[in-house]
Amino acid sequence: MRIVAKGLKYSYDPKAKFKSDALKGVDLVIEEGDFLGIIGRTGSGKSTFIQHLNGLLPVQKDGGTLLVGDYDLSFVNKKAKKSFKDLRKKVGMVFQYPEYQLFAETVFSDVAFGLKNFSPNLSEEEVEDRVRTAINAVGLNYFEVKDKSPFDLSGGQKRRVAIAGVIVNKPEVLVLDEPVAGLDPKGKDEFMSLLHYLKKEFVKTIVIVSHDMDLVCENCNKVAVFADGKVVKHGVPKDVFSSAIEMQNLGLELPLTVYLTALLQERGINIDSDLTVDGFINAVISAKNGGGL
Amino acid sequence: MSIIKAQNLTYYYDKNSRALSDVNIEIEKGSFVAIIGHNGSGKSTLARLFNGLLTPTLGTVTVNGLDTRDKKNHFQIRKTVGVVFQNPDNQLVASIVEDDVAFGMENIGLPRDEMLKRVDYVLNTVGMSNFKTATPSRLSGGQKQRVAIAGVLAIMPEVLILDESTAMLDPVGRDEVMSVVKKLNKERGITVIHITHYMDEIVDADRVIVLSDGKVVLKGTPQEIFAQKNRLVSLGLNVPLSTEISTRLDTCGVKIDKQILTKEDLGEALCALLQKA
Repeated sequence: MRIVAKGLKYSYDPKAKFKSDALKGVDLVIEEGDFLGIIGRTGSGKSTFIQHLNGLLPVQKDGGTLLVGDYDLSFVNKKAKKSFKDLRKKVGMVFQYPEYQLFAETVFSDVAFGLKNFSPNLSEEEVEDRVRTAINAVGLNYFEVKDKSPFDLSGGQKRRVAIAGVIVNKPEVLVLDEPVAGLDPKGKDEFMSLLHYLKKEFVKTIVIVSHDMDLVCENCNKVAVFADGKVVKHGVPKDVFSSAIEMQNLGLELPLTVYLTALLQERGINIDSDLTVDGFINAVISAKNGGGL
Repeated sequence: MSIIKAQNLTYYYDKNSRALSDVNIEIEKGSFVAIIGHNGSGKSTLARLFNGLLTPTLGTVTVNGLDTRDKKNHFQIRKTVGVVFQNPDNQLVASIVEDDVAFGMENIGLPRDEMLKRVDYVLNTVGMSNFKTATPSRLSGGQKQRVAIAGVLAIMPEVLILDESTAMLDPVGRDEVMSVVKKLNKERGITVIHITHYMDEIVDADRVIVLSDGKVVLKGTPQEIFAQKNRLVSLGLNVPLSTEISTRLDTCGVKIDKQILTKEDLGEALCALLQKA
């Protein structure tokens, strides 16, 4: 499903005399199949925006339009109450440190909780089948963990259980806020591989919010830069990160490959790559061997 | 001279879960020590043992020679060793910044005049003077952590432990906190123990201690530690990305003669390399 936001505005306190808007007119199209990285400084509107994607924050009056697949989330009037239940099955939301939200006695019942709420008519067998698929999907062994208390698992495993609790509803879009915060380097790498695997096998679109520029540059096919409640840049990493000065003016760090490419260019050396680490290394090698083609 | 000394330190949370086993560490006074290790390797347990929040199951921890097992020493030890934790929202208690900074001082019973002086002094040190009467909940993560550091500094500790205090911050917030901490170490001689998963935060530490499954598995300078990429990877860790790129170029026959730890190092090396080509 395609997501189209047009002139999306949001204020946390719309009645205040001097209201300050968290979103000031976001224009953004997320295509089906995108692995989108949302970046921007604290307070730029990233989290406010993603909470609109499954209706956690409703579009306000005169707040622009938002289409999520077939769902038109734009404001109609106060009385036309919308049901977000189906939408929330389709757009799975994973918050920061999702492991803090685990609560059930066993991994099985934690993962099954959301499913039973969203799909109360499923039989016991169907529930078990879906839960087993979800737990295996996140790289855990179903029979090893299903009866364990989620609190006896390691930090990385707990986070996987939390993701399983979202995947179990078969969402088409998976939205994750700071998915690798607090993980050690190996956990971080494994987690990003997991996201690529989930995108290949289980979900169509992934949206992540991250402060880690290297991670976004390496893993995302599209990047959207938020600043002061708007999307100020959107495109493939190579284009978005092309202007080092612009990034610095926005208060954002440069991915390492972008920093190096810009520094070399300043010294008259042109390295052309897709800005992934592999791409950059290959470009350096060919420049060295070919004397700068 | 060592200010904190752990000897044969073993710690069990309960019979079946050993968090640390036979750890021997000496922290030099005035040094900047980084502790790294995979999730669950025992880093935070160690931090809590260093100021007597936890006491050893076996072995000893001493702070300036005082044994943490003796409850009578706890007051002095906690004045000597201050800890800043991971989540900025969990460690601010008052509704105004200056009250929050004063909280620890009230507990040790400082006279009011002295408290007022120290509040100004420590807020200035962490660059938060303009926020003296602000509400903590309206600050950014980096600002909150700097207020938390100010509250610890007001007690005038000799050792500052940062237990993943930068983990929940954005890059700007991380820079703010790290530059304050480095300044305190260099200019005031405060001993810093920095626990982190960000390899690039520790490249200028005096010493790095690597924990794995509750044991000290490597100790050395950042140069020595980051020269052992394969070992670090097998421990669930990694080298900084700049070091990684430089080693991978090296294995592809593009030789960089110098050890690379920072992006500036790598940038200069690549310029030199390609200008010759």
